[in-house]
Formats: sequence, C-alpha cells, structure tokens
Amino acid sequence: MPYPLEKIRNFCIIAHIDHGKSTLADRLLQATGTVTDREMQDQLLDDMDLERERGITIKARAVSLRYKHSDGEIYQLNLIDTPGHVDFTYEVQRSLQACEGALLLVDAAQGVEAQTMANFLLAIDQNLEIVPVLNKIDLPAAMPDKVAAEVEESLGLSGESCIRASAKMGIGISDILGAIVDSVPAPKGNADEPLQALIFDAVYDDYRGIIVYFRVINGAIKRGDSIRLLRSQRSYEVTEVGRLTPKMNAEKAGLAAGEVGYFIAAIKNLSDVKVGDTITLDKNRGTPLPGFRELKPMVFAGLYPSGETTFDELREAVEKLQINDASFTFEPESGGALGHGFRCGYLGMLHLEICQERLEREFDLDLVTTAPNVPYQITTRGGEDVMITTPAEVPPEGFDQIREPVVELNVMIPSAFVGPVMQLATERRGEFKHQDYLGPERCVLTYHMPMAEVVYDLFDKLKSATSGYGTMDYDLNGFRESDLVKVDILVHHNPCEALAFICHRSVAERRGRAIVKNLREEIPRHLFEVALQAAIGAKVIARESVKAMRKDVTAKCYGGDVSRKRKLLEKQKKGKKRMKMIGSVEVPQAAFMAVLKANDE
Amino acid sequence: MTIPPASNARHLYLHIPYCAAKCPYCDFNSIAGREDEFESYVDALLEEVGRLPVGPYETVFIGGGTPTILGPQALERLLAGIRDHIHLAANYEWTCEANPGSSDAERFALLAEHGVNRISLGVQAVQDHHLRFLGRVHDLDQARGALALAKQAVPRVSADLIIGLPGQTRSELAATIAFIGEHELEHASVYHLAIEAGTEFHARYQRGELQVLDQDTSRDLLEQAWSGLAALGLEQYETSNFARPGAECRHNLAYWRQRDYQAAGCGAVSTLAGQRMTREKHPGRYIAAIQAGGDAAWQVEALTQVELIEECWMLGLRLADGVDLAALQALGDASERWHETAVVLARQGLIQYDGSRLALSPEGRAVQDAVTVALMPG
Ligand SMILES: Nc1nc2c(ncn2[C@@H]2O[C@H](COP(=O)(O)OP(=O)(O)O)[C@@H](O)[C@H]2O)c(=O)[nH]1
Ligand SMILES: C[S@@+](CC[C@H](N)C(=O)[O-])C[C@H]1O[C@@H](n2cnc3c(N)ncnc32)[C@H](O)[C@@H]1O
Ligand code: SF4
Repeated sequence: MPYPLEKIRNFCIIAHIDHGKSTLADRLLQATGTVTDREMQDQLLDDMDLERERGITIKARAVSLRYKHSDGEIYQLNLIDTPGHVDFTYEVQRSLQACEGALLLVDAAQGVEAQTMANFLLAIDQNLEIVPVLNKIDLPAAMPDKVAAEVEESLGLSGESCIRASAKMGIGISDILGAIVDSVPAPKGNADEPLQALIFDAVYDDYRGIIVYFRVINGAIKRGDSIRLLRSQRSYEVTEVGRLTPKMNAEKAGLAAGEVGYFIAAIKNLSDVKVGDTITLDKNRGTPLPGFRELKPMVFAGLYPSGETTFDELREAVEKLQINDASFTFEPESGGALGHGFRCGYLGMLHLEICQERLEREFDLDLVTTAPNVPYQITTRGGEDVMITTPAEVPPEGFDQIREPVVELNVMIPSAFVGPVMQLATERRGEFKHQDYLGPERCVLTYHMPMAEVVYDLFDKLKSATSGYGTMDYDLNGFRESDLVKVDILVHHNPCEALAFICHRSVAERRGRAIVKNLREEIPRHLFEVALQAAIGAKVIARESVKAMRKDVTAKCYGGDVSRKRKLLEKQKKGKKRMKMIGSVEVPQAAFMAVLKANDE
Repeated sequence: MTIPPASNARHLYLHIPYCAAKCPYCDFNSIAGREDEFESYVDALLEEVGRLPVGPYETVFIGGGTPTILGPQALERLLAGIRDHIHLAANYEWTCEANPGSSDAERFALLAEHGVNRISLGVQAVQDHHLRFLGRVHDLDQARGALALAKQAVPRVSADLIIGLPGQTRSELAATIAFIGEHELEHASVYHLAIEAGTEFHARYQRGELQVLDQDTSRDLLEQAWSGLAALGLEQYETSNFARPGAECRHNLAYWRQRDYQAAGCGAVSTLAGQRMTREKHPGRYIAAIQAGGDAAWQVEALTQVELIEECWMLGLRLADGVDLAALQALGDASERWHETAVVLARQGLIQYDGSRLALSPEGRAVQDAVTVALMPG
C-alpha cells in the first residue's frame, strides 16, 4: 500500500548562510521525536567535519519526520537539505525540484540577504509554496516588524504570514510544523504510472558504497527492481530502498510517488550518478524529468605533490576524492618546475578550497596549488575552436579570438553602498544591467561580469566595500570575446608556466607588477640577486629583484653546540630541498599562490 | 652506563652552570639563584673529573655559566681537585670564564695560583644602556675594573662582546672596537647577537616586542667590526674570534678542528672517537646521577659518517684556514660531489678555493650558513 499522498509534505529550508538553517533543522527533528534529545548531535544534517567547521551544508541530504498534526493525523514530512553556496546553485535547484514547499528562513536581525533572494527566486521558479519564517527573534537586535516589511516589499510575500521563531530557543517550532502541513501542498503524482524519480544527491560511503538520494515523482521503486538512469543510460538492480530517519531505514515495501528516500545498488562510479538524472524502471520506462544539466567545472588549478608526497600518492588521492565528489575533475599535467601533477577542475573557489582541505587532511598530502583560472575558449590561427583550462595551453603562435566565461551577478546591498559597489563592479569589467529596490534601504544590482573577475575574491572585496553588509550570487551566462593576453613570469630569465596567467590587456601591467612584487616577498634571498619579470611575449611589462642575501651567520659554535648547530643547518638544507627549482632559483610553494594574491592589489 | 670509547683526548671542558642572574639572550646551560647547591655540585664535578683519564691535557676550559660565581673556598676546592687528578701538558692553556659582576682579585689570584693562565671575561657591551638591555649584572666601570684585575692575575685575557644590538650605531660600535684597543687585548670574541630559542629575548621577539636589525644593518656592523679589529692587529681566525697571531684560543680551535675532547659537568658535551655524549643538563639531576655512581649521560650520539662530514664543513668553514680537505677526503666526501658547487661559489666571490685550500672570503663570511648549506652533503 503506497503511503497516502495527502499525508506527505516535501519541503526544504532556504536561507542565507548563518541565518539558522541547521539549527532549525535540528529543532524540527527534536520536536517531532525523529531523534531523541540524547541522540541529538548538533547539526545532524551536516555530517562532514569540514562542513561543520565551515558551517556550510555541502551535500544535500534528506530526512523523514513523523509529525502528529493538530488534526490528529500523522504526516510524513520530508525535509530536504540544500547546499548554501553559489558554487552549488544547480544542486540547490535539484533539491528544490524534489519539494512542494520551502521554509524561507530570514534572520530577524539581518534581514533579506543575497542568498535569501537567490534561493527564493530559485524556489519560485520551481513553483514552491513559500512559508516565510523570521528566525532569531530572541536576539535583542531582532527587528521582526521591519524584516517582515522587507520580506513583503522585496519578496512579495505577506509580512503578516511570517512566522516568528527562534530556532535556538525553540520558539515558534510548532507553528512552523503546522504551517508545513497547512500551507505546503501535498505531492501530486501517481503510484501506478511508470517510475519517474529525481536524483537530488548521491554520496559514497566506505561501507555501503554509493548511496543515491531521490524523490519519487510517479510510480514506485522497491528492492530487487531493475532500474535505469536515463541520462547516464545505465541500469542497476536495487539492493536496498528506504527512508532516512535520519538513519538509513530499509523499507521492504519500497517507496512510491511523493516520497523521498535513498537507494543502494551496485553502482561503481559516482560520476554515473548525476544529480538531476531521472530514475525509471528498465522494463517500464518513464520519461526524463526536466531541469537536467551536465555540471561543468568553472575553476581550474594545478595540483602538485610536494615535500615527501609522491605523484602516485597524489593520483591515488584525487581518484578517491572523485569517488566522493563527482563534480571534481582531474587530468594529468606537467608543470615544469613543479614536476608532474594534475589540472583539477572545481565548481568554484569554495569547492576548490574544500577539495584541497580534504586532500590535505584526509590523505595527509603535502601539496602545491597553482593559481586558479577559469576556462577559456580559443579560436586558433587555423580557425579551430578549443577549450583551454590552463594558460600553458595558449598556443605560442597566438590565436584569432579568445572568449571568457561571463556570469550574471546579483549583488544585494544597503542602498548607501551603491556608489562604492558600482565602482568595484566597473573595476571588475562589470556591465551594469539593472538596479532593483527591495524597500527603501536595500537594493539589488545586476551585472554581467567576466567570471574571472568574480570567482577569486569578489566576495571579499564586496564585503569590505559594504562594511560587511553586501551579499552576492551569480550564475553562468555564456562565453564572450575579450581582449585577453597571456602574461609570462620569468624567474631569473626562466619562464615559469605554473605562474603564467591570462588576463584582460588593460590590467596586465598592474597584475604583472603585483605578482613580481609578491614573488619578491615570497622568494627568499639567495647568494645572488634574483631577477623577476612579467612579460607579454617578448615585451617585459614589470620587473623586480630579490636582493642577494646579506647576512646569514651562526655566531657561536663551541663544543657543546656542534650537534645542535649541525641540525639547524641540516634543517636549512632540507627546507631548500623542499623548494621548487626554477633554473638556479629556489622557489617556495607559497610563491605559486602569488598570482592569486596579486588580485588583491 | 655508556662505555667511553678509547681516545687520548688532549682537551678538557668543565662546566659550572651557575650565574648571578640569567641574561635574557643566553641559551647556555646556566641558572641563577642556586647558591645552596654549589658545594654538592663541586663534589659531583670532582667525582666525575676523578673518573677521567689523567691526561696530559693540552687545554682545559672551565666555562659556564659563571665559574667565578663560586665562593673562594669552593673555587679553591674545585681547582685543587682538578689539579690533583689531571696532568697538564708542558705548554698547556687553561682558560676560565668570568663575569665582571662576580670577579675580584681574590678569585683571580686563586685561579692563577692553581695554574689557570687565561681568563675570558664577559664584557658584552661598552655602553651602560646596552648592558642594561642585555640584562647584565654589571656596568662598564665594573667591566673595566675586572679586565684590569684579570690582566694582573694571568698572562692571557680575552673579552666577550656582543654586537648587532637593536639600535646600535656605528659610533657605538666604533667605541666597542676602541675599547678592545685601549685595553690592548690579545684576544676578543665578538658575536653578533643571536635570538636563541628558549630565551627571554626569543619570547619577546615572537611577541613582537623586540626588534632585530635588518640584514643590511647587521652586515654593515659586522664589516665595520671585522675591519676595525683587523686594524688593531687582531686576526679573524674564526667567525667570531679575533686574536693576535699566536694568541688564538687553542681549546676552541680543537673543537673547530674536530679533535676529541673530554668533558665533565652538567650539560657538558664530550666527543670521543665519533661518540658524542651530553650529560644531564639540570644540575640537580646531574648531581644525583653522579652521586648514584652513574655517568649522568643524557644523550649519546654515535656520529654517522655523513654527520662527521657535515661537521667537517660546518666547523672548517668557520676557520680562517678553511676546511681541512684532507680530513674531508679521509671521511669519504670525495671532491667530485662538491667541486662544481665550490667553483660556482668561488666565481661568486664567496669562497677562496684553489684545489688545496677552501675557505670563506670576507664576503662569504657574512653568509657563512648559506654557503655551508650549499657545500654540505644531504
Ligand atoms: N540567538 C539566536 N541564534 C541562533 C538562532 N538560530 C541559529 N542561531 C545561531 O546562528 C548561527 C548560525 O546558525 P546555523 O544554524 O549554523 O546557520 P546556517 O548557516 O543557516 O545553517 C549559530 O551560531 C546558531 O547558534 C536563534 O533562533 N537565535
Ligand atoms: C657562557 S658565556 C661566557 C661568560 C659569562 N657567562 C658571561 O656571560 O659573562 C659565552 C659568551 O657567549 C656570548 N653569547 C651568549 N649568548 C649569546 C647570544 N644570544 N648572542 C650572541 N652572543 C651570545 C656572550 O658573549 C657570552 O659571554
Ligand atoms: S651570558 Fe653568561 S652570565 Fe649571562 S646567563 Fe649566560 S652564562 Fe650566565
């Protein structure tokens, strides 16, 4: 017997970071007795250490709550967690697609922020019923009336309908649960139609293998079914289907239309399980669900072993990482001074940082990362179109045209900061599109901006230009032609591919100067003066030098000091060996990030 | 117990760990405020000396800490006890370190009487504000007085000085050099201030409360000191040691030439036939270990061939004479390994290398560690 649709509600919580999404999720689990207080671990839905530290939900999960409503009936409330960062917009969309409603959580002290807005718009796109909740009303700084007005004005939701809550203090939780049942529509769908289920997430577990999270739209799925993933065109036999309570709870009868859960099958590669793909039965096939997109990495960086770490260890680690994270890509590359490594692709900078931390922490590797770049499209002299992911691939003979990715950027700021933000956007080659007011004091500026100007550090810059109040969100808008050049960096007259970069001609000189200046700080003094240059082709656009070392003497060394002083010199020698040689110059690992830091100047 | 390897070491180091006050820059094994321990320490030290081969020793060095902090009786007991057990070679050198804050005619006379023929006095600076910065227990007048007393008592006197002090001016350094000249010292140890791990200066430095000189200023001061000392006829026979020809400290030369040396006392290090032993550093623990009949060994290292080679480079490059290439060859570091590096360094003007002699140039002296690291194996 399929679970009656009218007793199911599928919802998610959308919020700007730190507005209390995880805290509220915990409360809902507690209030419904889904987990007992004793079992309650903080932030149960974020179960990777790294996520906990960063307070970001990276991987969407789901949990089924059993809730007894005031009408006396028991409802199955499926809470689907959504990632909260611009790097993961597509994954957010797919999570939303699995729901009929969303709790829109707004910090009553902070008000509507860029991610509130961005997620709200995504939710509207999916026709979700929105239940606005003002959180943190316990805070002395909370201004629920003002924020309710803002919600009304900027999002067009009724201010009066905002539930006032404090996830921390447990205020308003029963109102929220009630509103989920009363306001969020029950799922539609038909258990008798051919299976159509949406994959909204998949993870690799060391013990269970690949676990796929899905929402059944139509039809039903149970253990033993032979299923097919329509986009990746692969078939599997389901070995387990169940609900998440939040532990995996196998369900013999399987799941039917409207329900949310997980399945396990003997799936070998996480890359075969694509978020947004449609699950159907091998025999009785349904049609693909809308919205699927192939995720493409938009930030690339070289990753090289360093210190004691070997290339083979790095290869093993990136292979394992990909098992956990299908959006991470890698390809072998050779980086001159850096030896052999990989060109890795990431969804964005946050994704890059997370992957790097995992590699360093989980695999205990010593790594050098080169400055990240976006992909470029090049029309070669021969008229051929190619995609390049590293400056090293710029043809030495030049090209007919080069195109760079451009994003649509929404910046949400208090109106008082429009001036400085417009200036920042202009510096970053932003093309102004429009300005919308979210009430008298806040507005959204929309720009088209080269992705390269956005991904690395625009967020930090925006924060400092707006005293911390600005927030932003972006999405890829296509590739545009641009006057881009490749800048080479020469260390003591040897070009270093790992330091080369592509940028707009107008900023090449400034960036080049900033980089050689940073390099000057990073490269230790040598016994000779080290020349540093930035050049476009044969033309030197900036130069600096690292002065020769002037003093390096151990003053005292007597009978009792010999071993210790020897060890210090051995350490000094080891330190030198850890550096990368560019010609006769020893370059520390940190220097390879000099390109990135140069964006700050 | 470690069985000491057979060696007829000709050099002996004895350590007295006590000082009147701990200087904030000092990482020597020294402590202040343990006057109550002096007697039992002298007992333990003499016990250990009594177990050493009798010599003859060409050099003896009593260092610290501040050996002259011992009261006259304890000092006399120590010196007599040493003389009772060991033999001195005909032309021996016996140095004792002293701090101007605990120097007097009586103690110096005792030293001389028992055969000490060289005093090394910790003058450190010749401006009272620098002496205060260095946390010294004495002022310049006391240092002058102590120098005069030392010269009356023994034939050879050396002074320790620290340069490269934060804020030190060229004229202050000139005064420091002039001081050495005025006192007609035949020997001086002139160190650039080092911020040593574990010292109070190091802690202050890490907290950002102590500014150190930049490389360029340090280099200028070093060059000024070196040329000033040369003008006084004091040759830089080692990185931080300057002497009239013939007045070099033979004891310290033994270290730099990788000779074997015996030692006794807490924290003291002996190196015998490639075995290096460091004794218990803490005086109380040392005393207890010796009293219990043990050797107080805290760490015993069997130097590997590579380590011996590294030390040959490190120590040899400190000397004006340079690295003992024959010794290096004998240790197994064939010139094929380093010849090319040496040629490049010579071309850069950092070393003098003519196939038979390899020594730092004055330019190279200032960047000695980097040059050593370049030449060292590993
Ligand atoms: N005062 C107060 N703090 C809250 C409330 N809800 C969450 N917080 C705090 O806000 C911070 C961010 O909450 P979290 O749930 O991690 O936010 P998320 O990033 O949206 O998941 C944490 O320090 C929470 O303790 C609330 O109702 N009142
Ligand atoms: C054991 S002390 C000798 C004498 C005695 N303890 C005294 O200070 O008067 C050896 C010498 O090393 C030098 N020295 C000690 N610590 C130093 C440091 N951190 N930097 C430079 N020289 C230092 C001082 O000149 C000191 O006199
Ligand atoms: S410098 Fe000399 S007096 Fe000062 S603490 Fe060190 S050993 Fe003692």
